[in-house]
Amino acid sequence: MIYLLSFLLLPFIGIIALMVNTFLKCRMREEKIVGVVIAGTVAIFFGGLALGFKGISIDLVSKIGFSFSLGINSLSLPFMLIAVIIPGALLYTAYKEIKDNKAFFYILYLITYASLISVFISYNFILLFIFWEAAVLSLFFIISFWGDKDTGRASGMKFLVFTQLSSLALLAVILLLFSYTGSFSLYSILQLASSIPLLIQYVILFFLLVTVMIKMPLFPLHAWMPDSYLSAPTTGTVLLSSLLSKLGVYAFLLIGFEMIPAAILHARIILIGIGLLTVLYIAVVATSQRNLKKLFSYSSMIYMAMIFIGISSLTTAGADGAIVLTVSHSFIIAMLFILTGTLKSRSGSYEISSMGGYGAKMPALSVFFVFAVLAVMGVPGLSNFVGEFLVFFGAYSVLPIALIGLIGVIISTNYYLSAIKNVIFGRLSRAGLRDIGKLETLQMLLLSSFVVLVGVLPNLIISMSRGLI
Amino acid sequence: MNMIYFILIPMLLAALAAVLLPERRAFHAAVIGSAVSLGLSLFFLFDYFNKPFLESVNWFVSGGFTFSISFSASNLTLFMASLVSFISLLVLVFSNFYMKKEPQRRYYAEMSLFVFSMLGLVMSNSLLLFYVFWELIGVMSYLLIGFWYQREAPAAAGKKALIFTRIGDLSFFAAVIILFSSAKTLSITGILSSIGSLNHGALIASASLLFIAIISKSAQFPFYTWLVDAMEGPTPVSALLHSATMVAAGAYLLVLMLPLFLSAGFASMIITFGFVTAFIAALLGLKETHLKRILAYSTIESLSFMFIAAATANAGGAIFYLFTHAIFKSLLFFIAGAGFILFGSYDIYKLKSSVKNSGWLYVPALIGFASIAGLPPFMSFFAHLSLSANFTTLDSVVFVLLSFITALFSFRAFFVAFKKSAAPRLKRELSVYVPVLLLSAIALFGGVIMFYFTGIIHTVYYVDIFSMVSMLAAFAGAYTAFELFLNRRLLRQVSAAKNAAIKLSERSFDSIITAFGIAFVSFADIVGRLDEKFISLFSWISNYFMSLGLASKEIQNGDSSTYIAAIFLGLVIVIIIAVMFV
Amino acid sequence: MINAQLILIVGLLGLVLLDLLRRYRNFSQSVIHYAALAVLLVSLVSEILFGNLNASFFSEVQYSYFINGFILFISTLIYSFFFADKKSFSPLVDVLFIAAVLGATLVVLSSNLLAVILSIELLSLSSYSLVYFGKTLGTLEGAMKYISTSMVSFVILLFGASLVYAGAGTLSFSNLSSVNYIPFIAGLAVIIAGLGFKSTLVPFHMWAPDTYEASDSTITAFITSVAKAAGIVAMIRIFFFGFQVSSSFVTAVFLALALFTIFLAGIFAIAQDRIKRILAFSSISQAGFAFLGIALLNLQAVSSAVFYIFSFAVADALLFLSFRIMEEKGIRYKKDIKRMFSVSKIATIGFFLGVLSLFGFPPTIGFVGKLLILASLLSHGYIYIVGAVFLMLLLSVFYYFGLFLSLDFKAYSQNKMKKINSREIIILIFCVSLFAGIAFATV
Repeated sequence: MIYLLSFLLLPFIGIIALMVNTFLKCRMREEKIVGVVIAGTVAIFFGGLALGFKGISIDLVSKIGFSFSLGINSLSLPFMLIAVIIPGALLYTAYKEIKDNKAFFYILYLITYASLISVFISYNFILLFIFWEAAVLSLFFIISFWGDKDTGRASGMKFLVFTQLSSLALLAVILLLFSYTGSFSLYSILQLASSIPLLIQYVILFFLLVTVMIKMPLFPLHAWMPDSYLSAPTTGTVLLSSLLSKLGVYAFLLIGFEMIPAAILHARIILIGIGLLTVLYIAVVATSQRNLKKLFSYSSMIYMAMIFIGISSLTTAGADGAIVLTVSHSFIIAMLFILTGTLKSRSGSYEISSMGGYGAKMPALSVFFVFAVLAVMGVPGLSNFVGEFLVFFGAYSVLPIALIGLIGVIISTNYYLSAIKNVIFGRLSRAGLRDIGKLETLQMLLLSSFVVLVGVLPNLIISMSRGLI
Repeated sequence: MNMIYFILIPMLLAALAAVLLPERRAFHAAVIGSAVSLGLSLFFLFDYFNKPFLESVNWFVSGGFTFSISFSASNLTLFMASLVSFISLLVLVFSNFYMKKEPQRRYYAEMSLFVFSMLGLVMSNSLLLFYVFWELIGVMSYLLIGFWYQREAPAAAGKKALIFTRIGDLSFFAAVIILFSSAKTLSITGILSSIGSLNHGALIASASLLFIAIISKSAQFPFYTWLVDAMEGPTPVSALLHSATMVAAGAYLLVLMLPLFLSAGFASMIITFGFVTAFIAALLGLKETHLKRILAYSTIESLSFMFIAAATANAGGAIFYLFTHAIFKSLLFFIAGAGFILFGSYDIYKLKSSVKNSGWLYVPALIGFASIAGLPPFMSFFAHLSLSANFTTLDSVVFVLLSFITALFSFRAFFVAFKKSAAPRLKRELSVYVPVLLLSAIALFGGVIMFYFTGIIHTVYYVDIFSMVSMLAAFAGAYTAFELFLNRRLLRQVSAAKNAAIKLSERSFDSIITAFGIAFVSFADIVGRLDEKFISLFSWISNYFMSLGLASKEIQNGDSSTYIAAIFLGLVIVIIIAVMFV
Repeated sequence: MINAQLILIVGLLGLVLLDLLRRYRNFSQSVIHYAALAVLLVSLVSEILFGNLNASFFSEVQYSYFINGFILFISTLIYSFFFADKKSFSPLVDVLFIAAVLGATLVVLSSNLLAVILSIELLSLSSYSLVYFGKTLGTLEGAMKYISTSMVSFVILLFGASLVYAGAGTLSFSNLSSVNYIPFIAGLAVIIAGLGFKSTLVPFHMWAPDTYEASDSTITAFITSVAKAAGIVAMIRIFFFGFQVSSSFVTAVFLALALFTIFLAGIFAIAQDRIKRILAFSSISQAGFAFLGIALLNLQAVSSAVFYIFSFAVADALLFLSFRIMEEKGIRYKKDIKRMFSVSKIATIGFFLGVLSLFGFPPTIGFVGKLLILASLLSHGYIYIVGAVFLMLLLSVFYYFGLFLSLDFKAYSQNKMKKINSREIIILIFCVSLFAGIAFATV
């Protein structure tokens, strides 16, 4: 039995260690401390998968129903998988990228790490909200202080304003649920939620949509995304796209799918429509992008829209597909952004026009780049395919016309292949390129192996989330 | 159980081996793998002849349905597996000669993965699994066409190929979903048996989507241009993928799902598209000077023959022609490739001027080009007989015309590029000599197989006046080519036709597609800028508030009397509100 | 019979006597200061332990115990900070301070309009002088603005009270005889205007930014936490526990004023460059939020408002006290924030914790306070108001987090650990209570 509390304890110890290290000038490499913490957490996670998890519940302020409860629900495991592993792979990128104020950065990194994992194991909504906000605030700092020198602060502010709106909307959802079920505890709400009057469920759905559409993001509340993703350091962008956006997915699944399905049932055609609109619109917008990082940022939205469609269809297949796609997308987009960061450090900018012909001098990077792009395109055998299939299957059974979303996928093929062609293929445009080193290859291998694993054995992820309606 | 997926495994292992082993061993890994696959397929074919069975393994479970990886071993599938592994083996052997100076590991790994996928495709019983392999062969084709990615042309050709075929792939994807939703099963046999219960909309939708899939994969009009550009890839790739196997997958799917298309009433549409494609291909092939591109056009035409045959409810004819085509087309590509390595060019006119003696390549070339034309006594003559078995009168008339043009352009290539003289003999390298000879033999004598082919799939053949006429037309075409291109007579009469062909290719379909592509990108640019404006709207809002704040600084001006005035103002407001609400 | 107010009164008089004694016996002023501190502490303790006063004009209600408790707690801490800060000052200040605290606690207990007015005046008169502490031109200006506008509001308040008397026939909260409606209602409206001054509702807040900025930060801390709390509690006493009036007009007025306050204070805050003014406007905005709760006029909402007052009082006090430490090193503008960390680590941490709490970031009490108020709004169906409030809260992101953005960490690693001085200890205590205070939350 693995105690869930250890997911919080380990990073906490790490933070203390970092603070001690700085104040007492121990001269230990901050990355090593963080690495140990993450390795430990990974071990705990897999140990828990094997042996089972044990939750905890302490009443803190019973008068307002705030209790420190941790537990695993049917949705937790796939999300925990990505939250535990990806920051580990990301650590090497952070090591190369972050050079000043390392202690503070890694403290924020550990806070984000712990918060993200804890959101998925919180059994009390106030606790969940605390961790949610902690993750958001840490990312605000990361974007503002370690991001692009000129645009970092403005983008960080923009990010914060939008994300705060989504957090406030989430707060409204939590409070509405509380008002009508009398409790903040997930146990009680899951049981009582179906008795909430339908009108209130609609209101809850409205606020939930505000939260989700900002967080994931979806059109038209995506305005914060391009600048924030672009200005953030690569580490920040990966955290944003791989993990923070999945907070929105988790909220939508947990609250929407499990607690207020009645409201979604009436609205699902509209919701699927919103998702399809995003897919088609963003596919076109992405085609116009000449900046590689922006290209991947926009294209990431398409998969979030697919996840949204899958959940909105309220079918088991759709939800399963959404979860598989969530896990798969996290790994793939992490690879893509990390590689983009490496490309920037080689060519000095994210503009595709400044790159070209890298295949000749950087074979390892090219292999992973092509692999990741093929994966994100949905090539079968790699993880995105099964997710896309189940999502569209679920959507089709509700709204046959949903298949026009595939037109967006066709459009996306064009810019993905153009990206490969303009970056990897062709004549070499500059001299002095180094290929990616051993550690980075290892990092990519780790992420790719998950992509292949989930692609070949999607049942692993689907069985993790059994218990869905 | 019986484990027919063992046929696939050797190629997967070969791919892994090709990556991990040292450079020189990659070739051996691939060849051994395909030999084993061939052996296994033949073994299964003979051992389980007329004893079909299914094999399945669970893949994942969702929504109350179990998705499984299932293979079917029937005469047809095992035959196809044998054919694929046979041709693959020959191609890989040939690659030893052709690709000697190229990066070995990447090549053999990608080829092995391709063969793995193709074998999986022909043996799939689940439509989803079929799709999985269908898309995989497309991806492998992309990687292989763009093998020499440092050059612009192959890179562009690979990208174009994948984009075009992906349109078909995603249509296929949609069709799978539609069919699965209606039939509640993914097995091809299950879907076919439930066609009757499909509602009309689903039937037409899925048939149309599958149609788009097959015409994109098999390079029919209007998707044919990718195949011609795909010739930028290495010649063995062209031999394997773009003549014998991958493009034939479209025809194979057509044959498998034939009842679906027929009940949707698509037969005449397929036949029309087929003939249109054939004419376009033939005319364009007439004007082309690059040997591989001529072969590409002939492939497109041959595929359309398969389509037409299938659409006339003659699945056997289609498959037998597929088999024949695989043999002679790969033969021709080997010859072309050998010619390139030995003589240095693919341009038929350059070959004409620089080559004194085509050597031992001459006879196999003759066999090959005659096979395109469908001349007796070669195997393809019998194949033509078989595939035209169900033709209506109109079809047969068109076919006669086609036979003429086909023979014309194929023999044009032959007579221009190949010649026999007393000049010094050509070197015979084993890796090229053996496959060429083997295939020539089959193409020469294989016609007799037609009579036994019914065992594999029900085959008919029909000798009637039209088959005779088309045979004569073919001979006429060959003779015309001889006169025109070898003896250079009748030029003036033909120049008109030639100009027509040139005009057709200039107003080429390709440029329409390029124009469409450019238009789309400009549209995308507009939308992209729209999005930027939309995003800056929010910045505008926050700037607005900021300026509001700056302006309001004036209110708090430090003057007490203003403050007191404000208090009274507030008092008034409160009273007003109070009065309003009481 | 021992209760805090009695102790304060006795202590007050005792201090005056002690001061007289000092002139004859010649001991240092600090003795008096320690005595004053003792008085405050004892009254705090007795409030916690006994806390009960029932006289004709004053009566206990369930929450007054809590409010008095935190008023005394904050005042004690502020006074100790003041003492640690200023080392030597006239004992008059002690007397004034204790008088102000007394006034504040009496407001909370008032059960008669007259009691409210008298207590408020006690509080105000004392605070006018406290503002002038330091005797500079700047503080004089602040004090003068304060007095002049406060007088006007006091007059209005009196006028309102007399109208109420004309309408209801009594000033006492407990019995309501025949009500002559119009003057009664008018009177209540006017009272809102009068008391709105103290609670810094828009548009009665105009004095606040200038006065807050002009006076010494420690005094500002007092005004913004205790005095403001008293003002808001006075409103609660009158409108919730006092006269039970038809709620629609009170609700409408309060909601409108609250929304104005939150919004306008936010707009004003965004463009400010001087830190103290930003803090002042943010404090004004907080008051508005509390009024959202009061507007609903039911027990749940008012309790959440009371808790909210506690939360922002603590946070504001923390903020201004931390700022005091910065102020003396010359940090005035946003760009000076860079230097904050090198001035005092603990004060910087306290400062930013205070900002986070005001913003409503979990798990501080500010968050819980906002949680409770939003909960009561939502459970009574005011969904549109909640939506509007959300949008206004987005404004607050700008001015709060704009402060963070000016931080600079280069100085971080170079600092040695300085010894903690007593002022910082007080700040630490505040920080702890920022989190521990959650225990007092009720739904």
